Amino acid sequence: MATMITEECINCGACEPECPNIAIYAPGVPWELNGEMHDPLSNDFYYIVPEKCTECVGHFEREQCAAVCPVDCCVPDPQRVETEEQLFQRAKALHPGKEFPELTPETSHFRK
Amino acid sequence: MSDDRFTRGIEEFNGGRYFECHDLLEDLWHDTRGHDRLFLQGLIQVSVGFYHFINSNYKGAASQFTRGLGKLDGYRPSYCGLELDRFTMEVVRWLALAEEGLRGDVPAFDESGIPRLHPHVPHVSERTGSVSR
Repeated sequence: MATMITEECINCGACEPECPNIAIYAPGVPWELNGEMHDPLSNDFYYIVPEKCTECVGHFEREQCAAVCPVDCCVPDPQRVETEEQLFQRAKALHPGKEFPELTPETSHFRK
Repeated sequence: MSDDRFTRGIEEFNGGRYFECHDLLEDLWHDTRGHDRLFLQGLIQVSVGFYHFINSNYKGAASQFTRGLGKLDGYRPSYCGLELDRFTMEVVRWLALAEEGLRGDVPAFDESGIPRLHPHVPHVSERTGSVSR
């Protein structure tokens, strides 16, 4: 499932630079994918674009937004359950020029 | 805790500047490992709870108070020189107010009643002279 930010967010912005997929945006800021701009998903607090979130699969052992958030407001979105394979394919699509080695516990929280 | 960010964070909390308190303690939390880390997170969550409460975000406040109290419970009665027994009891009262807000009743509150973080003063027994901490 994609990660989402709840209304407990205090808008500190600590999560935004940590995302390897540039999936996190400040409130009110339009998001971008493949050169196309889209309306913000939230005007009140930071948000994660589900189409760009891979739960850090392919990159890190756990979701980096959640790792840096002491408020614990970056949580799995129960409405968007996805498999490791789906998320890995998304990571490859988002980073076409990058070589992704086979997933390990260091690059997928599913392998822990 | 000897880090200056801790002292300043507590000052910000006691001054009612909850975002600033969160900011300082979050910075310190990122650099902290071990037993202090969860304690700092508990303080951050209580601080964020008051930030949300004052901004009428009762859902966020109730959730952060609950999370923060759960963490601070393991550090009572005092930790890092701060008194926590009375402090956490008072936060529980604010949690109840936030829950009122969640039910749709706008809680009546006075910001000056928000608890402060006070130094823990060890109690010295008059009879034995022993110190309880």
